[in-house]
This record gives sequence, C-alpha cells and structure tokens, in this order.
Amino acid sequence: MLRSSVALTILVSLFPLTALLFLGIEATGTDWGALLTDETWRDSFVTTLYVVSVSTMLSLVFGTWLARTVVKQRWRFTSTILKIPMFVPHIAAAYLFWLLFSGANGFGGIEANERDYVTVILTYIWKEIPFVFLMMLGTYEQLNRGYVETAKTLQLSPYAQFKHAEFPFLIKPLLDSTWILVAFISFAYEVPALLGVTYPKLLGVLAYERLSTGLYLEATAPYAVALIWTCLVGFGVFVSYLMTASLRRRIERGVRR
Amino acid sequence: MIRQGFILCLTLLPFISLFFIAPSMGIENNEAIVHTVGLTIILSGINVWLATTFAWWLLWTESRWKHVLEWLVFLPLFIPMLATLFGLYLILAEVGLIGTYVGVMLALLVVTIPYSIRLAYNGMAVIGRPLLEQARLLPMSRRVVYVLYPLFSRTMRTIALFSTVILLSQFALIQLIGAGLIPTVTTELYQSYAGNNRSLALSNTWMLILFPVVIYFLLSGWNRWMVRMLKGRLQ
Amino acid sequence: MKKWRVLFATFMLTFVAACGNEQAVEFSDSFEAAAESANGSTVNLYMWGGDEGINSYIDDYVAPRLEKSYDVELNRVAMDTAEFIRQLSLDKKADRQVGTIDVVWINGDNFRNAKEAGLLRNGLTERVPNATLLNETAQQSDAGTPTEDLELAWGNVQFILHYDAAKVDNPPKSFEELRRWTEDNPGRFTYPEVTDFTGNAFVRHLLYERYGDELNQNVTIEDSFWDDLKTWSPNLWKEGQTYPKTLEQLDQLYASGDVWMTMGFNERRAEGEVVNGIFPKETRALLLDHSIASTHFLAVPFNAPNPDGALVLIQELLSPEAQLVKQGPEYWGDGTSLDLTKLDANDQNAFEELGDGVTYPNSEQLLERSIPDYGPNVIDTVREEWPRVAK
Repeated sequence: MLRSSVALTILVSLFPLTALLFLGIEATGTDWGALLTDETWRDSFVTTLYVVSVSTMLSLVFGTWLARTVVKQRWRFTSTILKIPMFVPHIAAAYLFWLLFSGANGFGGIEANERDYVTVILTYIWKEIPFVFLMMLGTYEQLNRGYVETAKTLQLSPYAQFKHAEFPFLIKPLLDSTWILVAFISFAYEVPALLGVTYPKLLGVLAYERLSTGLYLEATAPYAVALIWTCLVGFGVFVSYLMTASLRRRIERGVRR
Repeated sequence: MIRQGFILCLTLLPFISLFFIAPSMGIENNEAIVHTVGLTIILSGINVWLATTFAWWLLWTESRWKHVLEWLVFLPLFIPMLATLFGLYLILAEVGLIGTYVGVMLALLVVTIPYSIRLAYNGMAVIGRPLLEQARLLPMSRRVVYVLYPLFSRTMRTIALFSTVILLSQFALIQLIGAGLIPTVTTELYQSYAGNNRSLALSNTWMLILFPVVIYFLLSGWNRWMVRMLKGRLQ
Repeated sequence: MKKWRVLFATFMLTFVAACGNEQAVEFSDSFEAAAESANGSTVNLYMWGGDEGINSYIDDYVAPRLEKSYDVELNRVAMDTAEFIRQLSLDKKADRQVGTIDVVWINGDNFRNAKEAGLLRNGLTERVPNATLLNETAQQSDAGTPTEDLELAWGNVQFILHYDAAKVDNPPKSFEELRRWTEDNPGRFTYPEVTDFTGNAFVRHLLYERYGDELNQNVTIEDSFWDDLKTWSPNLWKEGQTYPKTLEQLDQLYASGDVWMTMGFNERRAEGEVVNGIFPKETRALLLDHSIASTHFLAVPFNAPNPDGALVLIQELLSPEAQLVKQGPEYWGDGTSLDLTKLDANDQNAFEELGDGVTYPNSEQLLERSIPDYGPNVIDTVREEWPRVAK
C-alpha cells in the first residue's frame, strides 16, 4: 500500500520532466542567434529579471523579519492574519490590486499598468510574504534559543548575533523559498497580464501571447525561451544548493542531535 | 502595538477593493460550481494521501535512492508552469485524456503534489522522529487513526487548502487540458475579468476569495469533531 | 513489492491501450442522413465568450430550438479563438483524430492559420442546405483569404466607433480630426493592442487613409507612418505608455468614463450595452472616413467527434429565423450573412422591419463608406511593426 502510493507519486513527479523533454523537441530548429538579438525578447528578459529580483528579495526580507518578530513577540493574532493573503488565488489578488490602483481609485499616487511594474511587484510581495513567512515560521519556532543566548552572552552586536546564531539555520528554507518564488514569478501569466504594460511585457506573458497569436502559431521561439529560462533557474538551483551543501549538512546533523 | 496595527492594516488593505462597487448577484453556473467542488475534494484527498505516505516513506527509508527521489519530487517546483503545460498537453493527447476529468485531475496533481509533499514532510519533521517511532509499534489502522491523524490534522488541512488555492488559480491549465469541457469557477470567471462588466468581475472575485475560506472552516470543524470523537473513544 | 508492480503494469497498459489511433469520424452523405445520425447526440460549439448578449443568444434561443427540431443537445464552450486554434494545432501534432471540438466560430487571420495548418474540413456548402441562401460576396473571402468551402458565413458587420455624447460636443468626422481631437482632449482616447482583433483593425483604418487599396499589392509600410502614429501617443490614455490588452478592457474603460470613445466590429453592438446600463446613456455611433466590412464564419475541425451534429447546428444557425433574431436588438444585433433577395417575401419584410436603434449609425452612409478588409499579410505586418509605437 505504502509502496504503491510512493510509486504513484514518483510517476506523477516524472510528468513535468517528460514535459520538458517534449518542450526540448518543440524548441529544436529555433534560430538562437535571432532570438538573442531580438529586442522585444531582450527587453522583456531584462524587465522580468528586475521584477523577479525585486519582488523575491523584498518578500524574503519582509517574510523573514515578520516570522522572527512574530515568534519573538508572540503575536498570535497577527500571525493568523498574516497568513490570509496566501489563500487568495493569484488571479483574484491581481484583480484586487488592479481595482485599488487603477483609474479613479488610484491609491497613493501609484497607478496600475505603468512601465516600472510597481503594482505587479506589490501584488507579488503581498502574495508571497505570507508564503515566506510560513516557510520561516516553522524554522523560527524550532530554533534553539540557546545559540542566541550564547551569542548575547558573548556580547556580539545584534547583526553578529543574527549572523552566527540565526542565519545558518535559515539557509535551507531561504533557498527553498527563493527558488520557488523565482520560478513561479518569472513565468506566471495572470498577474502581469492584468497589471502590466504593452511594452515591455514579462516573459510569461510574451511567451503565452506569441504562442497564441496568429503570426507566431508555428513559432518555436516561445518554447526555446521557456527552455532557456528553465535551464537558467535549474542552474541557479543546482549551484546554490551545491555551494551550501556542506554547511546545511552540518546544521542538519546539529539539529537532529 | 502600533507596529502590529500597521502590519495588519497593510495586510488587509487590498481587500478594500471588494467594497468599491456593489457586486452583481445572480451568477449561478451550477455546473462550474459542481466541477470545482468535485475537483477540490478529489484533488485534496489524493494530495493528502500521496503526500503523507511519501513523506512518511522519506522519513524512514534507508534506500540509497532517497536523496534522488527527494529531489525528483521537489524539482517540479522549479520548472515554470507554462513550460510544463504544453508538454503535458502533448503527452495527455497521446494518451487520449484531453477534455476528460482524469486528464485535468492528473495535470492538477502534477502542479500541486510538490507543494504538498513539502508541507507534509515539514509537518512530520516538526513532530520529530522519536514520537513517531513509538507510533510505529501500533498496528497500521490504529496507528493512523489514533496517532497520525490527530497529529497531522493541521498539516492535512493546510495541504487541502493549498491544493484548493492552486486549483482556483489555474486558468490556462484547466482550459487547455480540459479542452473547455470542464468549466470550473475560475475558467468561467476568468472571462469576466477580460469582459466589460466590473460588478460581475467583482462578484467573481468574491467567490474566488470565499471558496478557500469556506473550505478552511469546514475542515477545521471536521478536524475538531474527529479529534473530539477519537478522544471520547479512547477514554 | 508485488502490489506496486501490478499497479505499474496497469498504468503502462492504459497507456498502450489508449495509444491506438482512432479513425476520424466522417460526414454522412446527405443532410437528411446527417440529421438522422445526429439525433440524440451532443454538439460542442467553441466560441469567444466575452459577450453576455451573444452567449444568451446561443444558450436561450438557439439551444432550445436545436433540441426541439433535431433532438441535438448544444454545448457552448467559451474559449478565445486563438486558444482553440492552438489546441487544434496541438491535436494535429499529437495526431489526435477524434477530438473535442465540433464547430468553431472563426475569421480573419485565425482562419488563415487554421487553413494553412489543415485544421478544418471542407465540403460544407454541399452538405448544409441553407448555404444556398448566403450572400455570395461575403461567403467568398475571409479578410482576403479565399474560404474554399472550409467555412460558412455566419454574420456580416462593419467597423464603427462609439462616443459618449454627454462628454464629447463636437465629434470628429475623419481620422485626421480624431487625431486633433485627442490633442484637445488628452487621455480620453486609446485603442487596443494590435494583437487584439479590433486594435489591429483600427490601425488598418489609418493605413487605408494613407495607402488606400495599394497596400494589397505591396505590403510595405513606410517608417513615416509609424512615426506619425507615434505622435498620437502623448495624448492617448496613460500617455500611450500602455494600451488595453483587449477590446473588452477598452469597453471597460469606456463604461467607467476613463476614456470617451470605444470602437469595434458590429455597428449595432452598443445598443444592448446601453440598455443594460453598462455603457453611458448618451452613447452614439461615430462613422469616420471609411469602415472595414468584416464577415465571420462557422467551421468544422478536422477531428470533430460529431461532424453530423456540426452540420445540423450550422444549418440551424443559418436559417432565416435564427438570423433574424440574431440581427434583432434582443440578444446580439449581429448583421445577417444571408442574401435578403434570396429569401421569401415574408422573411425579407421581417428583416426590413427590424428598424434602427439610437446607437446605430446611418445605414446608407455606412454602406457608402464600407471598404473591404486587407489580407492577413497586412494584419501580420501591423502586428510585427507596431510594437515600436508602444515602446
């Protein structure tokens, strides 16, 4: 019983990898040179990098800070409320922000559909902070206060306290959340489609549109772009986990004991 | 206190939009609602089952494949959704599952299972091996009913909720794999976002937001009732 | 161990079993035979679903009639045209001979793509009796692409702008005046992105103003045209920093009063919106120098699972009664694709008695200024070169 469901899970997990294989087949025959010099793709790539890095960074920082504060200060109620946005579907969140920042309702001088993608970033931050918060909350709740106490007794500066007594335990959940967010935000469609601009579009929107509009029906470029991006993310995942592997292993052992 | 208030305000601020205009009442597509409820129940059930069993297996296995498999089930999280979608279509078309409930289910399972396994595994890690080790002494059915279920009920609720939210976020996937034949609340309502009737779009937003809330309360109530019943039986 | 082997084997078996390619379902020989074989079946009609009026025309008027006259159940599936074309092309790639889609609503470049990719069935004219009533000019070509019997004309409309007379005192009379009007009223006009059907058509109207018919022979658009179009930008909605993605988004801006004009194919399209209180009460038609006439069509995909049901549905949709109700103000207001001179006197009268709505343009003027559409090559070129205007 257990084995069969484990096997089933593995089969299901193999699907996306097979799908990538199909994607690779579709992408053959792409004119890679033309793709790299195409200004529309390039501008979109740069904007995507910007949106992804800003929203991921801010979500990580705020999410971690909130988890830390909530655990330290025992804010039970706040902790509950903070999780709410996670249970709002992305489409609905995008529409809420669109209503908040568009037209006559323009809020605080920020407008939807402008080239700095501020509202897109805000939506993502609002949606992803709770996600990071939840990932970090567990870690902070289990965090051995002994290390922090030791650091305090040693009269380290608050920054050094954080660096030596807390940060090493956060590496794993931080890495996990970072790459999940990067992969998710970089190729999502709904949010930037509703809150973005005509030019430059984010990669996900551009790829989806090029696949569906007439001129590009048979084009292989969107497949190729999806594949390149997946490889980039995969490479980042691989390198970052490899670099922190020994550190993480040491800590895991320490925690288990 | 002030800090807390500020954080709460920022978190809840976007919900103001819900009250800008009066939502239009009377969108009732029963078929879509039935489909959504059906998919939610099946998807959550399968997710809870597969994720907890897999996490349980991961926790105890001595297999040398452990790390490879751990990565394998984790990997899909890093592959952009749109990238998997077109490949999935080609695979499922080959098998003849396009436009069927099973095909949609399978595709949804692919995108939800990595998250569920993560949640389940973390949930078990929090409880820790020592406590669970004792449970292993009990026979299977008693183990599940009296120890594992009460311990994991919160994690299970989270998994079910997560699956629901991911399900409700899928427009492109359900539309493409379901060939439009399996309308859900999301696909029905997505059209209204693109449409020109704001109050219709708003009432749809209400629906998308309330759906997980209802699920949450139902599951919490169910959990509480179950745990109380089990406790009663133990006494 | 044993159990999961069994499971694995069953899983693989289902794969293998399902992989056997099915044979495509063919049309019956005559319409009568088709109607008989379609009896009791379900037919899936895939169409863009963004308009309530159109949807309820299909659900509330056509579906019950089809059920009654042929005992065929109609299942309307709302999907963007480009999306189901993509789905069909994926089906083609996967060699899926029995698909899900029976009838599609299609035209323009989507038709061109579907035709080139071999996604549609031919031989509709001889199988659908009502096809003899069709307006022959409309039936012949779809925005420059010969239809070659792959689709049948369903409706016939023209491009028109609408404005809010409560806000616009002196509406422009030509495209040049419209440009000057935007200078006087900055931020009150915009058009959808050219990936949108309507947005692309708007730019084609400007092209016609400069090039006339010439462009059909030689599709080269000078840089100066795009530079001129770029001069519109500072005075458009959001200073031309972004454009509505779709016509529906433009309509939404118009409905909320952010912009004062909207546009679209179908000269009667605003009537229902005004009646339902979505568009401003004072909405009026705005006919400029010329207006592209456009026909939209019905087609049957290569892998339709119920092709006979498809024939029955098309026959019903092209009947004079269904076309009359379609053109009327009650649901949709879509112009008929039938040649009125081919109808009997009663039906002709009924069409003439439909009358005018307040948001309709003057029908004689509209006909006078009607121009045929450019071919799909121009649509593609606009799509490819326009992004520099949005930059």
